Amino acid sequence: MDNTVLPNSSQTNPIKLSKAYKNWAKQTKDRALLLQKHLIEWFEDEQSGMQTAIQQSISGTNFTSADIHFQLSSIKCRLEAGDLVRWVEQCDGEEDQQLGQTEQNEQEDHEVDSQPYEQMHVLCIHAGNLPLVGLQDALAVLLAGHYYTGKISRKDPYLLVSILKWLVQRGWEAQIQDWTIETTDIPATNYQKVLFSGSESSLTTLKNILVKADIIESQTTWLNRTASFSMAYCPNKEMVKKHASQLIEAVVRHGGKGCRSVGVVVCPVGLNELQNPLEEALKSTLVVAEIEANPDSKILKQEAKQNKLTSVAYKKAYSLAIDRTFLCVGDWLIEEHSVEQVPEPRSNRVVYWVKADVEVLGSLVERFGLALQSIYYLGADNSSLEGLLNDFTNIESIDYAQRPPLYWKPDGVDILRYLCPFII
Amino acid sequence: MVSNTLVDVNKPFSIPNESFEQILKTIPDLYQSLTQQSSSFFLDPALSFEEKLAQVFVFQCTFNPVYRKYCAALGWSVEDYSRCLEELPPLLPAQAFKEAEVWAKNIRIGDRFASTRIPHLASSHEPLEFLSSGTSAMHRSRHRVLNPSYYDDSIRASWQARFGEENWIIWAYTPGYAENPQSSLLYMIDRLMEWDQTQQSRYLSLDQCLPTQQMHELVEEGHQVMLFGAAFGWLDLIERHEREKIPLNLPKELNIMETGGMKTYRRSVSREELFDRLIEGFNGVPEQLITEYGMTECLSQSYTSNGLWLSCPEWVKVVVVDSDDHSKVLAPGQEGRIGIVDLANIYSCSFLLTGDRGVMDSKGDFQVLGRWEPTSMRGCNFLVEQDG
Repeated sequence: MDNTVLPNSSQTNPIKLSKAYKNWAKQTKDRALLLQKHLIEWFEDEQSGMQTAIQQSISGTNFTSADIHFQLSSIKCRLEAGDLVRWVEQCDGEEDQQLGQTEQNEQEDHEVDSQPYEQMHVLCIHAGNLPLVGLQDALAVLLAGHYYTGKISRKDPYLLVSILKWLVQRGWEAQIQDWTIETTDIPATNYQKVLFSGSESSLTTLKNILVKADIIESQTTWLNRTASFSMAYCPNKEMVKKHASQLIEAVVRHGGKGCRSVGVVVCPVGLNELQNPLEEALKSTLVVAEIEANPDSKILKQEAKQNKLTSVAYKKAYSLAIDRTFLCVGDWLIEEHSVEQVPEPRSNRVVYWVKADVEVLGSLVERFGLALQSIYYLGADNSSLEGLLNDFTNIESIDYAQRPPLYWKPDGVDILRYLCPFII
Repeated sequence: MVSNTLVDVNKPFSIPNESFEQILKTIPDLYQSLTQQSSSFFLDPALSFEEKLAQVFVFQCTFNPVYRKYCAALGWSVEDYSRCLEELPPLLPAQAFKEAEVWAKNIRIGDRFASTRIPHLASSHEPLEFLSSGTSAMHRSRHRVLNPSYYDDSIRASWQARFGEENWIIWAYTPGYAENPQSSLLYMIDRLMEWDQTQQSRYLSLDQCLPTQQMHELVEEGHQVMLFGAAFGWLDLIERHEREKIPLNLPKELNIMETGGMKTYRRSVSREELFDRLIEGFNGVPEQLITEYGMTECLSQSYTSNGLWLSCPEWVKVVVVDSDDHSKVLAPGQEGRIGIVDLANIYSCSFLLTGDRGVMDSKGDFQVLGRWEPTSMRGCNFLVEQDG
């Protein structure tokens, strides 16, 4: 176990550990309340710079106005719901259970109470596939009480920077050390951990660049991402009809790029039997998105769109050639594949429909392995999934697919717990 | 729109007699070659590559249901003979060989089976069927070759175009292929061995080091010797020699062929790194190492003659196309997806889009840079070159 942040890393006395933990929990909860307050202020204070960052993002990135506003609204809702405090309490609750036994014999130990935290320097390398995708890492570092340095994504260079600037103004300058857009400008600090919201495939190259530039040590611990898509399970035709709009939202929001976006749907009913509700939901979602889209966005967006339409023509032709059932609206495709043939979804805007019963979910979880982020269920009842997925724990309601709590677990990892390894 | 089955490949597809006669007028040379069992059409020296390509297109657009539907969806038809002389016909994703039966099947001309007019289409004919590597749980490409002579001719002509008409002794090292007796690579090696007039070609033992002394003897006797095997097999063999402390001092006149096949290897290795490691491991010189580029879905092979650059035989055209718009051929130096027009693939599909990323040079040679990945990928991918 990494003991870096343990208040007294050589301490093995369970009573002292319990004390130390309580100390951590109190401080962290206080930080969560303060951070929550300051972040909500960023949304509400006209001087916070948020509006400018939004306008810059609309005109200067490939995100649509609709996706930017959706993401911000979702984050604000979660903050107002008290997610940051709940995040800490979740750790607190679990820890309390583990330490409950030792607390009975607790004795006063002022030595532990007064021990300061061993704060870590954490480098966050943010990806920019969707607006503010790196926020969670930054929040976890701040909540944990560590020092944050950020490599901001070129694809999302305004929103997170605006938040960081605001937090510095509000008194977080001790923890927020620095941020930069250029990799080579990252200050060489003694980073104990790197949170890298990129995938394994780009890890080695980036690591080599940073080690070569003496920014990090070769032995620095990295946490990278593996998941690239999520699955939805639809138990029957009625449920699909009832929740078609949520399902399609989970598919198309953010252009299908996030690891929380649905890439595979498992349903005992074939795609051809659900053409109408899915097509309607897809059309209405895309029409809304089109209306909300910013007409002044970069020319690149238009070119990219044209390319995608070309690409989809080939994909449609291919499905026709091999007699595969598919549904196509705009540049979105839902293709039906057999359980045996369904590959790992790689392209966004192409979703695989698997006509199968719930029993196949386990085999698909095994096949997709670390590439799978979450399995969503439609409606309120997830009992049909119980006992089928062994150790796979990221089972969530489709309602949360694109509006996850701030403490959601990428790849099943709670980032806060990861940064505070003394929480067992 | 949900597609309904437009043409079920398992149901006979009938071409009216008049249409067939019309089609014959555009493919006289190909039809004559197929019906008279003369030499392989793709080797016909009397026709230009473009003329042969256009005839093959018309033939496959007629007799291959999968390709016909693919073309139709992209606005191409059997009437596009002239268009083929100016534009690249649609490239069918090679993935189709995993998901469909990409060969002439269940075709009728009027009320009679097409095989009455083209004997090789007869179901009684014993076709070859190749399978790509992979486990039984994986989907493997299936390539049915209705006329084995086409593959034999292609192997021989590809080889002779690169290595001349001299006799070659083939020593093959093929770990991992025992599980796939239907490998097209094994078929190819078998043919090359058969053509060795000295009959000294053989498969090497998989659990031993290389018999280097015998190789020296063959070379000293004046034989041309080719070691033939998949790249991952060679790397394992080099490690075996290192482990057993048996030096790998091969004769400098000996050639080593690596056939790719790194997808299933336990480590990820770039082409350059692989090349360097093989040269170093074999204590060889770069001129000794030759890369073969072939695939289950193609009957022809390309070989390197200059480092990492591959040259294809004259009946094959390799193009690098835009990954979104496959009809857009990219200029030399631009990276894209590799497309292949292999006229030897007469009974399946000659117009293929591979899953490989590549680049052409100004002479028409090409390099394989790795697997093609979608430009718009899912997940929190972080591309250093885009976001560094």
